[in-house]
Amino acid sequence: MLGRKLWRTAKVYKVQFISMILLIALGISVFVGFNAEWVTIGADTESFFRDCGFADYRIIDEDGISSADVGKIRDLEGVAGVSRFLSVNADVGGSDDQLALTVTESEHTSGFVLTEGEKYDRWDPEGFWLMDKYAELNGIKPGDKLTVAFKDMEFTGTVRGLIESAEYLICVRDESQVMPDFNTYGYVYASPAMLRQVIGKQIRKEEPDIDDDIMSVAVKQACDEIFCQVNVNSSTDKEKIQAAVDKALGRSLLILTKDENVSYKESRGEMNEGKTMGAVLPVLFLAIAILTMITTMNRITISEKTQIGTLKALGFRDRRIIRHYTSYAVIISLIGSVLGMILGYLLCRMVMSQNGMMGTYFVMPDWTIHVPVWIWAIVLVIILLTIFVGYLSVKDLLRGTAAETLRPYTPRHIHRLLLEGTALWRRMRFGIKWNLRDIFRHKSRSAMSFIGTFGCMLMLVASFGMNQTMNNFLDTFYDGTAAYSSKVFMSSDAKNKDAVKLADELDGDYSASVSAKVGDKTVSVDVYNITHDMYRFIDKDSNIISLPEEGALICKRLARDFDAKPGDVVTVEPYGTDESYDILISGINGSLTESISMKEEYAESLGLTDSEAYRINSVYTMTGKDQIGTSSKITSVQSKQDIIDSFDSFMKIFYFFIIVLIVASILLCLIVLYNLGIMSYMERYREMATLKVLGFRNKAIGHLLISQNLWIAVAGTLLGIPAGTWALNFLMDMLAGEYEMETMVGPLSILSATALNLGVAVIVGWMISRKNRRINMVEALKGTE
Amino acid sequence: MKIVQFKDVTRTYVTGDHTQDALVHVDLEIEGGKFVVILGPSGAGKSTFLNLLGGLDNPTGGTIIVDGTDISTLSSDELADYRAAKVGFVFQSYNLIPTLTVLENVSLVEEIAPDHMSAQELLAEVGLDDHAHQFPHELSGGEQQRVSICRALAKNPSILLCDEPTGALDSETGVVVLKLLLKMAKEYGKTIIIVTHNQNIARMADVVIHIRSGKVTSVDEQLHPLSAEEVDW
Repeated sequence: MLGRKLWRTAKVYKVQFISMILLIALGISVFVGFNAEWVTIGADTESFFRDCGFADYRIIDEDGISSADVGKIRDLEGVAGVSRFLSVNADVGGSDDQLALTVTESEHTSGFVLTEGEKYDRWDPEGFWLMDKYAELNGIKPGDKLTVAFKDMEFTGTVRGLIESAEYLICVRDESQVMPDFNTYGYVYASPAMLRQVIGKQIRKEEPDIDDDIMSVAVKQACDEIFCQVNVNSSTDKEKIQAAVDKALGRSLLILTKDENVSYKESRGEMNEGKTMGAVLPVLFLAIAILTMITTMNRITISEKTQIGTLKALGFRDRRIIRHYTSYAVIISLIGSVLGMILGYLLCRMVMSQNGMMGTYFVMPDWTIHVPVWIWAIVLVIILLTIFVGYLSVKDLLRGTAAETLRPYTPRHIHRLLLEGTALWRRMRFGIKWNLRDIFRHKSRSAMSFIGTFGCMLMLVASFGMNQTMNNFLDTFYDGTAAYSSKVFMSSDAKNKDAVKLADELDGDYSASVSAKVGDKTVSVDVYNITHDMYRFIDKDSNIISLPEEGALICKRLARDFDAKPGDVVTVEPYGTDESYDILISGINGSLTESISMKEEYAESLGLTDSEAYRINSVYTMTGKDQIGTSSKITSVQSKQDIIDSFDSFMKIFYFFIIVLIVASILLCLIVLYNLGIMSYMERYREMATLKVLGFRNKAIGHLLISQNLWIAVAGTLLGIPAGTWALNFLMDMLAGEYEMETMVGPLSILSATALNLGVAVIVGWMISRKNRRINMVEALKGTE
Repeated sequence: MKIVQFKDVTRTYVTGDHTQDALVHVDLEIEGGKFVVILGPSGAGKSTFLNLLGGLDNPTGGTIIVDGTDISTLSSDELADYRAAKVGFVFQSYNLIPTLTVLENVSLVEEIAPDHMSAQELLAEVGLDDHAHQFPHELSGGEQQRVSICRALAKNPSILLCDEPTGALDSETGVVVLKLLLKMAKEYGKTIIIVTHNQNIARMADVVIHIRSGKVTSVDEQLHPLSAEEVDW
């Protein structure tokens, strides 16, 4: 019989029940969705890195690395795998596409995962293993012929298999491209046998009568020159491996850790961003949902006091009554949690899947969603907490005798407010006094309404602010600093004088990037020749500045890492040389990369332009991309629009999270305010009926009801603005520290957030105030107080 | 002068398939300035009569004219204005606003009643001026009902409608409250209509109306009503 009562009571409180289920579901879904995302990124990429033998270190020597060197590295302590590795952008025959032509001498280091076709065979002189996504978009299947050309070498073979490689988890042409374009750029693995065959053909072309023995030596020598990189699997730390390699090879080589590889760095970055996001806003979300749910649960139990008393008077044991009322909490928390887990999973799936948003960024074979044990544990705690609150509420009511429990619940008596007795108080209309006292009489309800609107405002300000910050960042860097239309990437064949000549022809500016060591950190020393205002610089407050005549600008992150101030001197050691240069820091700038920037004249005064490491690699011009001819001196030309478009794709993922946060915040605020508003309406039903009997019109009573909600919403909104700004600063610092973004919460962000937050409060107030038309004065005033 | 006229008034409640006639073809007239008691057993339709007269409920059929106005055709807002200007209610359970002080409870009608009286003066008259800044829960039941009477009178209505005004009080306090109610009504020239099942109160009335099963069974005028002191409580 109590079972029937259970469902019928649930029907009576359907608004509260549904809102509690939705609150739990919403809180858990956002929490699970955001946290499962980063856990999934971490787990799926980690297994992909492991399956591919992703290299821990990349040892680079522009002069080439011999097989003898490889042997020495292999013998080092702690080295688990070694492979000479070649990755160059090669043109695809019959199209404008490019593929990263890759050769790894050992498939166990920097290898790949086969998704279709034949296994990798390093001795197959005609075997290609092609990126599956590129193949799919270009209609290429295993067995098809493929030709790619790099410089004057042509690689022709048959696609043996389709693959995915962790080295190209993020498959971009170069560092200026933010988002992959799988239709025009991918990667292909050629066997070392094919590389040797192509080199052999090349030699034979130049010297047709070469002897086979000499040919073998010549091919080996050419391979030693073409392989400029050795990839290493080792868990030894960088300092040790650097020292060991330097000692073994007798020269100092540039060693890059996996943290400096775009695929590894960006995937870890995405994971850490998700972790930070998941640790702040969704937790706040969950907290608001739980607190509101607890308040509602408690109120419902209290309003059932007489019925609890009746059951007790009838002879039901306390334990049975507790079980009956606790089962409401069990049902609510279970349905809410299951719903929340499903929604959270789907939310995560929208991002983390082959066809989801992250699928446009990452290429990996396994997209299994991982919901870790600790998330299940938190959900379990929420269920238990809800049940415990339900239990405590009933237990509290059952404490006295049956007669005591039978008496209707009387809310806490009102106490005088500090404001009372003042002239201001005396001038207030009764409605204001009524509402003010009611707020303090029902503190928990009022506090929850405040927390709901405050939390929503915080999240809205942070979300709108993030959006504005990102847009401002794009404007600053792509409209402010990049004044050029096209950026030309010079090839390794190009001499510095070729780049200068090209810049002259295109009326452009140029820059050289020297990779150098400062302490144990790798930085880019960028030398600029700016005569056509194609490239500009910004200070730490995003104002446009010029490069100093004397000294260099250091980016904010490096300045922080090295504790460098204007006037300090930083010593840089270009890789591949035994030189060092003392650079005077003249100012701090905002930069996309970890760099030190200087004028060419200053670099000349230091002697840096004479260094072997100094190579002009970029030319900036207003000439359109299509008007710049191709040549062996040019690797690629990128228009500014390409970069912006590529960033726009990247931004879609970002905007998705912003929209999810905004929508979820509004929903949360809506449910919290509606739930508490209904509660307030029910608790003041009798008072409103009295007012109605006295002759107050529905509209006047409605205003009274709305105004309390609005005051609380205004307070929540006002305090939510600074809290949201603080949260934004914290998040941007954690999320996008590498971009040196200036957080922006402008009037538009605040106005939008305020309009939404107060809009929700007004709509909810209006919905509830309309209910007072249905107040039955006769019914409401029956019975005793 | 007839202040209240019920013409063929019917009130039927429909709940699912079940219909209940609370008032059936009631025709009734009440003179202004009289003390009227409506008597009848539980479920007879007394409270329905009072609710219809007070504009808390609408009749299913018939016409109710109060002070020349047909209130059965008024809109929701017009009924609110009617309640604000013409009638004052005194309930068995006082229905004071718990978050307002005694003075605020009485003076809140100043915001709606165009011809309201001074809350301070009324409270002084019922001897509660010392309690003006206390909250209802700080008063006894009798004191709370006195506040309720003040609030009803503060609107300066033509009619005071009382639904078992002494029902929640002990007999001694009930008599005090009743005496006060009659004194105030007489002093301010109000028509007072009390719904009760207490026969003793009926002995004090100018007119006693008996209702049974939704019908008016008798209307008795008492030429010599007793005073509260003369009634054997």
